[in-house]
Amino acid sequence: MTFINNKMTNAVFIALLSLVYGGLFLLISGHMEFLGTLPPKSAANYGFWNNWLAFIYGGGLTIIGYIILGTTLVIVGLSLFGSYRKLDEYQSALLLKVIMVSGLVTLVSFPLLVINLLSEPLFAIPFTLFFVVVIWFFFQITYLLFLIKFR
Amino acid sequence: MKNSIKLLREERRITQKELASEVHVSRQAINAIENEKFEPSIWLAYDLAKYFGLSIEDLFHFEESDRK
Repeated sequence: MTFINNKMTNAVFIALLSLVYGGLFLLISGHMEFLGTLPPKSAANYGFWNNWLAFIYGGGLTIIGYIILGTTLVIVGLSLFGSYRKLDEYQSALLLKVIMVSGLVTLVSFPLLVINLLSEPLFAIPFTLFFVVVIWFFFQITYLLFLIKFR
Repeated sequence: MKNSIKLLREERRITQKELASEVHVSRQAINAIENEKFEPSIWLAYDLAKYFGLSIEDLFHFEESDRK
């Protein structure tokens, strides 16, 4: 697992994926064609999902896109200017644990996503977006905390 | 794994940071090894033993009960 030892390699990987997620959210937020794929407001009787839908309709994905890109900038900055360029074996072992926990969150998210999709197919896009945001935020935040601990 | 690193380090009056610098790892790594929270690789164990002028077996206390 030597490829995770280099902080800049990790930062580039995270930056590329964040550019895709963040850029996509900024691009689709408020876009008429995207809004046309969403269910009508108050289509479901679940408070949380209605709030999430209202958040998307209100252009909330723009905020999420900027937060993802902002967090990425901090990650790249800490990777560039931190004390260590390369992680030692102790730090690598901890980072592996971080990745394993993130992988577990992703694995647990998928069945939940499928259950939600089957129970409310109309909400497919809001559900999927929500799980993408949760999974990517979780990974970004845990990696950021890791970098702050070993800066 | 139990070891004598802390004892030997304090005898030599060097800090965790200084020892970490000698064996090219972070201070946190030395702290984790001293507190038995992390088992070093064979190469790091070798570097630490070499630094203290001991064998790996003298620095790290191998006990059957610790075997995973």
